[in-house]
Parts: sequence; C-alpha cells; structure tokens
Amino acid sequence: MGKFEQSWKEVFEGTELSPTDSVWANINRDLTAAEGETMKKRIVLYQRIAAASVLFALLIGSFGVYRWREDNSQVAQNKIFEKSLPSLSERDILDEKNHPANSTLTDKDKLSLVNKRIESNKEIASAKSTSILNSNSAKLNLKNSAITKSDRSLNEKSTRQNLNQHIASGNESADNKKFNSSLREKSAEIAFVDLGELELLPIPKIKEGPKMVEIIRILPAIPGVFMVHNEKKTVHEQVWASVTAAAGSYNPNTSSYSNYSASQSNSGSSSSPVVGSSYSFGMLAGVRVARRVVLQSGIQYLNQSINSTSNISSPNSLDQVASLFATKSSSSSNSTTNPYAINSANEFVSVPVQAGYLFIDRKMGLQLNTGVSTEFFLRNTLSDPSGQRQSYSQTAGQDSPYRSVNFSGLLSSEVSYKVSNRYRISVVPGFHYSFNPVLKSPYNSSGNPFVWDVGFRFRYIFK
Amino acid sequence: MNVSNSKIKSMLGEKELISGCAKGERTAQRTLYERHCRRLMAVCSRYSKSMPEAEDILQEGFMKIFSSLKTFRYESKLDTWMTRIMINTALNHQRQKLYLLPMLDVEDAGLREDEKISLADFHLSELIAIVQELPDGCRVVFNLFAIEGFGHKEIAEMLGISEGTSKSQYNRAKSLLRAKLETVKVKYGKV
Repeated sequence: MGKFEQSWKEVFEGTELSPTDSVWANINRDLTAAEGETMKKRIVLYQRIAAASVLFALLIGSFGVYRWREDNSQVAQNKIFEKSLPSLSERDILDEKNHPANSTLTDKDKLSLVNKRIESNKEIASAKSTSILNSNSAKLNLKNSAITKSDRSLNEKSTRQNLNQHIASGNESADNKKFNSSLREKSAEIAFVDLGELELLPIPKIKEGPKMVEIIRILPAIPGVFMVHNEKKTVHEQVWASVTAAAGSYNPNTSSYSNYSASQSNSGSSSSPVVGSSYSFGMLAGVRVARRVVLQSGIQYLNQSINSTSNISSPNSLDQVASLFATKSSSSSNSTTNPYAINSANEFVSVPVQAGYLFIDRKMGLQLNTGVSTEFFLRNTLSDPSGQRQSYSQTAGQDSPYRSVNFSGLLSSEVSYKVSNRYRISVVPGFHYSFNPVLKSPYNSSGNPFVWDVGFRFRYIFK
Repeated sequence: MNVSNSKIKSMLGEKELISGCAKGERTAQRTLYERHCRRLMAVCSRYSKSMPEAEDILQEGFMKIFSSLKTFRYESKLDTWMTRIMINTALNHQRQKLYLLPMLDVEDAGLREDEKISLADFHLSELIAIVQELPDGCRVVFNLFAIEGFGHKEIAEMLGISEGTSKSQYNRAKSLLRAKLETVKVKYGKV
C-alpha cells in the first residue's frame, strides 16, 4: 500500500459522523412495520387453521348426520316389516280359522306340522341372516348367526329324534300342504322375526310314546342396533368443568380507530391498525340437557390488542394520544414528532353462555356451539413497545370513552377426544362477533370488532 | 436520544445486545444503533454522493443488520460484520448507477513523495465532500482499494468488472482527488 492510500486510510480510520434523528425514527417505523408483517403472517396462519378446522368439523358433522339418518331409516324400515308380519300366534288362529280341519288333526299330523314349522323358522332365520349381513354390525351378527345355527341344529336334531320315534311314515294331508305352502310364501317375504314370537312353539299332545317335551327355541341373528345398547354411550358426561385458552386474530373494524387519526402532514396522527391479536383464558362448566344438547357457561379473561404508529408528540406519557383519541379530534393541532409505535390493548372479563349440539358423541366428539357473551370492560392500555413513553390506561366509567358492557355472538365447533373416563380434550376453532363497538357512540361511528381464534379445552367429567 | 442511561448500562454486554436484537427487543436495537451509528455513518458517507443518501444507506443497512443478527455466529468481530453489511448495502445501493467503463492511459496521479499537500491540513468534512464529488465508479473503487484494503482482483469480482477496469477507475479517482485537493488548498490558502 502506497503513501497515498495510507494517508487516506489514516484520515478515515475511526472517524465518526452523527446521523440525524430521523434515521432512527425511520428505522423504528420500518421495524414496527416488519413486526406487523410477521404478526400478519401469524394471523393468516391462525385464520387458515380456524377455517380448515371449521371445514373439517362441517365435513365430519355432515358425515355423522348422514350415518345417523341412514341408521334411523333402516330401523324404521325394520319396524314396518315387523308390523306387516302377523305374529305366529295370530297366524295359528288365522290358520285354524281358515282350516278347521287342522283342529281335528291327528298326533302324527301335528308332529308333522311342528316339523314343518321348524323348517319354516329355519328359512326365516336364514332370510334374516342374509339381511343382517348387509347391515353395519356384520361381525357381531355373523357370530350371533353361528350361535343360532348351532343352537338350532341341536334343537332340531333332538326334536327330530324324538318325533321320528313316533312317526314311522305318513303323507301330508291336503290341508297340511296348503298350510305349509302358506308358510313358505310368508317366509319368503319375511326379513326379520321377532324373537319373542319364536320362543315357544305349540306343544302337541301326543297320546302314545315318550312324553318328552321339547321347548324349541330358535335364536335368529339380531341386528346390531337391537343388540348394542346405544344409551350406554350417553350415560356419562352429564356434568363437567373445563379450563380453556384461545388465541387468534382481532379485527377492530378499523373505522373505529380512524377517528383519532388525523391528516398525516402537519397535525398529530395515528395510523389505522388493520388487524391485531387476541387471546383469552378461563373456566367453563357444562351440563347435558338432552341426549345431544349441552349448555356451557363460565368466566373468561379477554385481551384484544392492536399495533399502530403515531407521530403525536408525547415525550413522557401517551396521555396526549389518549386525549386526542377521547376528544375525537380529527384535525388536532397537537405538535408532531417522529413516528413511533403504539400498542393498544383492551381487556375484558367475559361471561359466555353457549348451547351445543353433539353431532358425534363417542370417544371422538364433535359439537357445534353457539351463544352469546356478556363482556365487562376492564381497561384500555396504550403502550410504547420501545419503552420510551409511559403507558396510559383508561378504565370504564361515565367519563370513559369505552362502553362498560359489551355483548357478543359466539359460534364455534368443538372437536374432542376422550382421553380417559374422566378427561376429554378438545380443539375449538371459533368466531366471536361484537354486537356493538368498543367505544361509546360519541367517539365512534361504526365498526363492530370480531375475532377468529382457535381454542384448547381440557375437560374434567364429574358424572 | 431518549434511551435512558440505566437501560443502556443494563445492556452493556455485546452478546446480550445481540440476543435482545435477535428477539426483536426495541431497547436492544436502539442501544446497538446508538453504539455504532456514527462510525457506520462515516462509512456510508464515503460511499454516497450526499449526506441524505448516506442516511438512506445507513437506515437500509441497519434494517439488514437487525434482520440478520439471528445468523451472527461470532466468527468475526461484530464491528467488522456490521461494517461489511453496510458496505454491501452501499454497493447494492450504488449498483444501478455504476457504469464502470475502463479508462485507458490514465496516469498514476497519486500523491507524490515530494508533494507538500498533507491530508492532515484538511477538515474531515472537507475530505468527505471531496470523496463524495468523485464519480460513482471512481468513488466505490477508491473506497474499496484505498480505505478498505481490497485488491483489484477482489474488487473486480465484487463489482463484476475486469481487474483492468478497477485499476483504471482507481487511477482516475486518484487523479481527481489530487486535483480537488489542489483546488481546496488554493481556495482556502492551505499549505
């Protein structure tokens, strides 16, 4: 390195020049904007998760409703079949009326009749088994059918042995043929048989031979809907308590804040925030009021905050910003300074009351909740994230620009999982819409804030 | 500057500062800015044509520093790392304006051994003003070669030019600087 370079290097080595204050103000503004972008990305993520959860819940709900209706229609169809089928005793009476000759049958004929009825019942049970195979409880019914078959075969075997001892041979009478053909026709139409009707078959009076009496009981396969007691699933979870926490995006419907925004040029101003963040936590208690309807209520703490920038000169405290805000001045003559960030946080105590409908009430649960909440305003706090200015808090009251009580509508879906007999956890994507602005009417023209959030609940089941 | 002394004192450690900045703590960011802004402003002023332009580079450079501090691995000194970011920012800022055409037959017009002009006779602001008056290409090459100590080969790679262009730009810068120093000396009667 030559003398020229050396001399210049020495001159500039360690030199310092002071930049103007506006450089940091601009950096501060850019950093705030960058943080806003990051927050915006997070909020978009929350919104997408909430939307996806709601969509998922709707899909699951639709599927659940479809299955439920399908089951109901099948049960109704079964009942119609049962009603259309006369009972065995009725049939006997009818047959005896239609065929008076039956009353004068010999013992052999009666035994033959019993035998035919066994055959008939066999066909009925077979038809029923086929029907059940098409139903939802295939495995259970197959097992049942197997039991029925073995039971039936045992019964038939013993019955036939006994009867065959008494019946050497014989031809069916004309009446018996008619009776049997009538039974076969009916059995072809039969899909289900009432168990009660098949318990006992008429015992013929046999004058000769052994007097053994067989109680023939044929157990047809029974559809799963009759065998599985659905009520068992809803016996529990009548009363519970849960802790809840949620986070999401808060949209103040920005017109409410533009009132304290003034022109950017030469008067105090604050930029309108687009969207902020929200979080809440609290406790809820729930009770089941019907098989699929629940009621929940409790108490929650809500915090809804937004970031914005201001150039209103308030060197030590943010009270000037708040006063500008409260006086609804749109052309304030407040002195200005370099833009700085402001965080405005509203705090509430909320008492929500929600009704929920259970679409799925099993180990995995799905319910749709709707209701209202009464929100008691605690305070608004304006703070400077850089810590240069003191925070300013405004509570509720007659002189406060904030409403003491607000009302909101709630809509949420709750996807839950029962982790044990006493505990259930759930994810709750929801929407929260305020029926009125946070500010009183003189300070605000429009804008009802709303919140999209995703909550988490941990439920303890008392009984 | 409104950051209280207690806050600055509480964050004396460089690692604490870096950690705070990486977390986005505004107080830490402000403290880091306060510590380095004057030195880096001097760097930016050498690479720019005016002070407002230097402030723009400084602002842009600090934004890059704050966003990149998470990746700082302590492999070099923080000062050096920040200066390098600032120089890169200045180069990017100037890149569109750089039309570095080779300048042939430019004589070596640096300070000669027997020359009686001493830079010590000039005020810092005068010297910065002289450098800022240089054409963009000459100013950048002069700073990189004479002040930062890069070789012409490195400068050629950094700026995407040939080594010969870098040398000719530098010679042109020296020639112009000499002429400007003479002018100022005559104007203000400096020996």
